[in-house]
Amino acid sequence: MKDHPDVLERLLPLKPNWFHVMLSLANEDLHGYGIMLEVRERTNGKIRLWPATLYGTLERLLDEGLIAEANQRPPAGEDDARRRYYHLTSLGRRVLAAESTRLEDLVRVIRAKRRVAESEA
Amino acid sequence: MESQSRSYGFAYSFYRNLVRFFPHRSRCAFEYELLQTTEDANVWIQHQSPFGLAHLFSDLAVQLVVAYLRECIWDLRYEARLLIRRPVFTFVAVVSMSLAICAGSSFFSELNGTILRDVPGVAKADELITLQQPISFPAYRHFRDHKELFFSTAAYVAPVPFGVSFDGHKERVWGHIVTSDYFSTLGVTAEMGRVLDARDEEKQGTPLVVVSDRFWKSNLGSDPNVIGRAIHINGKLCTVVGVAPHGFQGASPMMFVADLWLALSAGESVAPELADNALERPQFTIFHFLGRRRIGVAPAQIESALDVMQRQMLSDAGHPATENGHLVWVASGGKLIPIRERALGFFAFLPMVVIALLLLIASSNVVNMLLARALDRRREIAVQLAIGAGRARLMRQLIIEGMLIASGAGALGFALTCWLMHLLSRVRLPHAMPVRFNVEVDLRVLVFTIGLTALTGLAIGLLPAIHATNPELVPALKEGANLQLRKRRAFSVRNLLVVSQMAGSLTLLLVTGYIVFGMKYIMSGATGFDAGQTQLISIDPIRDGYSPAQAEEFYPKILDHVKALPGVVSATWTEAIPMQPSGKMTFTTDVGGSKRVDEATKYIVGSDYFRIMGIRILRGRGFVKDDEKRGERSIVVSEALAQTIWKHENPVGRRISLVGRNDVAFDLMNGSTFDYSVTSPEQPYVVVGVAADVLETPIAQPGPAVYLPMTEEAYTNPPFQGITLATRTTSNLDGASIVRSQIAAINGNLTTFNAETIDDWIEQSMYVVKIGLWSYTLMGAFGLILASVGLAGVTAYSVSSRVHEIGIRLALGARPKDILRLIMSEGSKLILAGSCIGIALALLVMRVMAASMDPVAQSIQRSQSDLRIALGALGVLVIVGLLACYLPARRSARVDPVVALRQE
Repeated sequence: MKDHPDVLERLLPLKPNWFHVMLSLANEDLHGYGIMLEVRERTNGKIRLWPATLYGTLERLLDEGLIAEANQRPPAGEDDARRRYYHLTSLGRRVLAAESTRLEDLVRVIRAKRRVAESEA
Repeated sequence: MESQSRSYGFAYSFYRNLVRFFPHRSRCAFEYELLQTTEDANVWIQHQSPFGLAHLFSDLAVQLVVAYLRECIWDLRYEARLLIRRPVFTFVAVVSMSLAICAGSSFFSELNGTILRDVPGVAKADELITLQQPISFPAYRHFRDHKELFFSTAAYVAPVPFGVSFDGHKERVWGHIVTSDYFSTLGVTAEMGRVLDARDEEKQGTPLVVVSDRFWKSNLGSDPNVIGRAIHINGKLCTVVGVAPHGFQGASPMMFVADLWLALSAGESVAPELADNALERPQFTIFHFLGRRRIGVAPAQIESALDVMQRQMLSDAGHPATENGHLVWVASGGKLIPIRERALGFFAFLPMVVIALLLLIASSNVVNMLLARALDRRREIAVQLAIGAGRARLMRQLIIEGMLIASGAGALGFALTCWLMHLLSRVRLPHAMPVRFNVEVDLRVLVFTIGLTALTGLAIGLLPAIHATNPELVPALKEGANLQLRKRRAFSVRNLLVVSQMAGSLTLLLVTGYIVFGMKYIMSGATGFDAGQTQLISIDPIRDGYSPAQAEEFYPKILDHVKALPGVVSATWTEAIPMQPSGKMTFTTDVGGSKRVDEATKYIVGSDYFRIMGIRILRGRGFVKDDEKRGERSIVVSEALAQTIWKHENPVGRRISLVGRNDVAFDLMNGSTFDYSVTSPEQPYVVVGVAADVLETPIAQPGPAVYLPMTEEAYTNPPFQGITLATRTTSNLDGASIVRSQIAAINGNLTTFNAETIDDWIEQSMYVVKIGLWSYTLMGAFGLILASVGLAGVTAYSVSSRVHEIGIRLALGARPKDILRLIMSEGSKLILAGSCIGIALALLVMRVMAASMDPVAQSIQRSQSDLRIALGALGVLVIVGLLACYLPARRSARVDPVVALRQE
């Protein structure tokens, strides 16, 4: 906990790829391909994570301790034994929350400015 | 679709092969998954083919690079941390390499600033050609006519001092007298006004001059109306017609810097150099040749063509040349120092030797240290290898370590070079002319240093990397990590390094020792003269605008007045002073029926010169006033000359015939001008005295010299040093001010210059040599320290790494005495081998250097007989080496075998 603020400062603003991968893992554990699909679906095909980039990102996230290999496997029917599933660590959740807050603040400011501009126009 | 899936299949296997190139760590973690995911994703990748495939591969390529970069940065940080943890080691390594790199870049910087640098201001410097010896004007006319060789040609006289006066200021400014196509041949256009060109071929109206940008800014105050401004040159009215571009100081700024250019057509009315119909005399070789060769014409072609022409001219004149070699030597005219292309390698080679040695010692020092450290880390490396790290990765780590040290050293070395070169550029050569080196560091030197550093880093990192990552894991993982019982131990890398270190250090020490001490002997030897308190001051009335008749009156008047001043012991006018002779002279003597031709340094001196300078007259007498009368032919010879020619007989009364007369400007490059002159009718001179030898240049033994009395002509045609008044005074007198005021009292319009005491003058002359001496001494001292430290470190380490082996021997019954004997004998053998190689190498190097540099030859000769140097250098290194063997050996031999066996 001690390095909590420092870690956040160092990692924020989050690289876009990192953000998307972590966002995919926010609600469920996924394997690599699953993350790819989820991101593509979520952004309507606008953001595509290519394999090498994806695993590069996963490696970095693992190193930083933001994600970890999941211990619990999904129910037997959906499980693929050879794949590795990833889930967010508590640090990862905190970072994700912090980044989301930062982005929300940004959006709020933009909206406020737009209102002002429109009212002036 | 089928072809698509086939091509996809091929692409996929290619992809799979590429993935293997990922760094080990990433591969272990993700290789399988990556391939799996790619397979899964092939549907939508195919969907977008061919862009899909392209995107896929580019994605992979980018990630590969990123992964490797991350690894390298990680390695860098890791190695840097390791280095920081061992500050002493890092410090020693960095400092040793930095001095070596500094030596290398300084040398290159000097080359760059002189031989490799283009003459500033000229266009297409590669096309310019010059001749190493000056020629006569008729010869120039002849060469000029051969248009097939040259695009354009020019000739100029240099160095030329001008007595310049403007707005009441009087100054002595250096410049060239040039033909009309000088500026066009060089490709120089005016910054303001115009340069001299074809219009100035014929003399018309007021003589025109071009001034340099520097002169315009510092002396004329950047006057915007400078064009057309009146200026007096040598007393004659001239007009400034143009300002040369910034940075241009003539065609040979390193030797004959020019701030003023006068057209040849101005003739002898302005310039005394052109007096006596100089343009028609074939013996007046005062013109420097400049040519822009046509494209496609090689310098060698030009050389042979001109050579043929020169021979033809000589035989036409009735005096065919007798030399077999080249008469004409072509050199590149566009570089600051004109040298022949072949000579470039030669110039570069010599100081390289010392520097290469320094680099060798420094590198082997550092390599040794790195090896030692790498072997310390062997356990760590073995473990890494065992768990699967690639050998390449580990080698990369160790090479990075080497690179880090080299980078630190490179940065430090470069900073040192900048500082050194800055100092060097401010050195003034002790000549009457303001020649200045500009060897400041520029981009090229930086690039060179970076290259040198990289190479060095690779070199010092590679050897330990290869050696230490040798995958012999089993011994390393066991306790006996450092047991080295290989059969061929004699030629192990470490031993070779010790030997090469010893050899290199010894060579460096011997060579620098001999040179330094030799030079010191020569320099500290008696100069041959003892001038006491003597003040020198020069005047040049001709260039102040006075006619020869007027000038002639000044001299005796000033002399009488100065002599009459209280405190003045004696005074004389003289052209030459010690260490600034009047040139060289060829002469013939008749000894025992056979004629011999010799060369000697010539001093043209006034009466009383010997007494004032404290030069002993060994036989006969010095000069008296009567010797200066027209028709008299007295000559004084030096001791060296007398001994060479007449051995022990009394030379007084003998005759010497002078070959030709050289009224030619003193050539800075080699102290003489090539004499194409014709043998003039017999002019025998009578020897009236023998003078003691006097030092001519600070680093060489005095050679043969002759002294000639001042003649009327000497007074009326002063050389560029002017005519000097030497005044010897009693101790506590301010010679400069009283003499100057006396001269001013007689004629306030005379410009005085080069006013200094004789001690100052000697000091100046010695200065440059002192610098050279200092740097050699420094290099030698540094080499000594490096060598000792390196030798000590290596032998100490090699002994202490044998602790395990020693423990076994002790356990098996060896006595400490036996251990010591073993180690000392092995160490001594290495040191002996190194010494022999070192001595042999040193002899070779000195022989080569002596053959090519005369002062080196002399100083080596001088100190050769002094065995102290050889013994001293050898002794120091041998003692250091043996001590470095002995102390750790003693320590290990005393240790409890059990402890030794347990230790790694």
